[in-house]
Amino acid sequence: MIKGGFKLTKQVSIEEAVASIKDGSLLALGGNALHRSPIAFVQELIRQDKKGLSVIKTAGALDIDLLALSKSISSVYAGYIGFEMLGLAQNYRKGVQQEEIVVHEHACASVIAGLRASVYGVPFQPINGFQGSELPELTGLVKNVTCPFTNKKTAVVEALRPDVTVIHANIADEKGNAYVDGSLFEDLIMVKAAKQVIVTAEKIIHSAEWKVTPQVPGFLVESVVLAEKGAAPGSCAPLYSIDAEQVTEYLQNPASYLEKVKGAVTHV
Amino acid sequence: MATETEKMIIAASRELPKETAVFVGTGMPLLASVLALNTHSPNILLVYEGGGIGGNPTGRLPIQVSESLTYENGVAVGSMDYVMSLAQAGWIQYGFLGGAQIDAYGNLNTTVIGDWENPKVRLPGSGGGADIASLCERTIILMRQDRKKFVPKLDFLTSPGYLTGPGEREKVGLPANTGPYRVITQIGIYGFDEQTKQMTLLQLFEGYTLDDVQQQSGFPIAISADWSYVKAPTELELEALHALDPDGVVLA
Repeated sequence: MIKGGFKLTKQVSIEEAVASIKDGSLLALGGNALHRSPIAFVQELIRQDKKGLSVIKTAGALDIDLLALSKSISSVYAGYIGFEMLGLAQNYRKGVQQEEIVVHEHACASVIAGLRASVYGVPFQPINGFQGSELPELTGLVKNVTCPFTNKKTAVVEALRPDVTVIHANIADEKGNAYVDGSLFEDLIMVKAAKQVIVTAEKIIHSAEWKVTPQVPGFLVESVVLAEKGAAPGSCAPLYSIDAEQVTEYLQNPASYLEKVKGAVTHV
Repeated sequence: MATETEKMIIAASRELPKETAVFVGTGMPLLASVLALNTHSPNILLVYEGGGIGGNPTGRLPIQVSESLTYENGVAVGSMDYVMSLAQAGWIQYGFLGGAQIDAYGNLNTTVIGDWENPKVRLPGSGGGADIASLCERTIILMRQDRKKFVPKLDFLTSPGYLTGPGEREKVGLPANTGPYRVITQIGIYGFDEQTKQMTLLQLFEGYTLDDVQQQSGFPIAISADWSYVKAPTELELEALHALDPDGVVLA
């Protein structure tokens, strides 16, 4: 069976899409740090009070920190969680220090390698670049094997298979085809690795109207959600850049930001 | 009068050769790389973790590694997988790193302070650090120096330097001729001794003494026999640097 299928239209509301997520799911979130992350979807996860989620992300920022603050996540597979020059992810940090969140300690590249294993349908993926770090031995997520061809010690990462991947795209159509402007980050790999895919998009067009070539094939996508400004206060190039004021407001007073998120009615 | 941050950035930019590919992080590394591009290294290729390659933005500088400015007027935009695999295949010569802790062999910690199982402070994690440290021929580490940061033993080894000494990188299977090249702090510029693979002072910033080098480190630092003072930033370098960050995002 093709995972996304060929429904007449896959467009649903953000409430419906989020309602399909079960507590305890393993989610992969597209985008990178404060860029094109599916923030509108994350905020709806919080409004629907989803619990015990695990999240896969190469580099997380507001998405992971907000889910940590709302106590929605129990574990994270990631290479980096923080706001780069804007500061540490304080709520994630507290969640880990209070042992509410389990860290599956990765580097960005090993997260990608784990996802790639699922893309290719193999149990693990060899990776270059983990010799000598303490990451492999401590976490057990990266192990060393002997290459059967060269006898060289080779690091391998166990396959990571998200229950649901959620990405935010610039444009999508009713069939689930989606176009991303600029860097794809790990979105395409996450889409191919997952059991199920949800695309939120700035704009939904009819599949006869494409003027650019979508990179995400609709047959892999389960549902499509219209989410204008769906990555804000992060960026979605070239439509909008980071709303630094809002990000700073979050960093200074996350609790009141969370209350606003909970109180907001979705805009679609 | 240049600030300490400005002096560190200018010193880092001087370490970059005329032509190379460099893995760039945000903040000081970004300014150092673009400064080199605009002064002595016109053919340098800037590679960003978010997938941007060769970006040469005309307006403000990118302040995050995944911004669209990282590929404005650039060569290519791929994905993180695209650029990380460039490093994995050995195509990127220079890389910049920072960290919360460093030891005498240039090993870095960006993961936790305290025990990993029961952390005192949870830090952002490796990001691309472990890869850059493992795979780039020459890594340049930019960080402030004090006894809390320069420690005899790391709480966690995130990104490998020379591990426990000569030959150790090769023993664990890291590519040949890779490893930390320079450590640049507000006090001085350090290299790694060929024999011991331990941090050694090469140059001192004006205003600091050899005593400061040791006072602000938790491990002993050797002093190179032919150590010198870092040449003061030129007007040209300072002007070019200020033009890159007129709002003082990094410099202020």
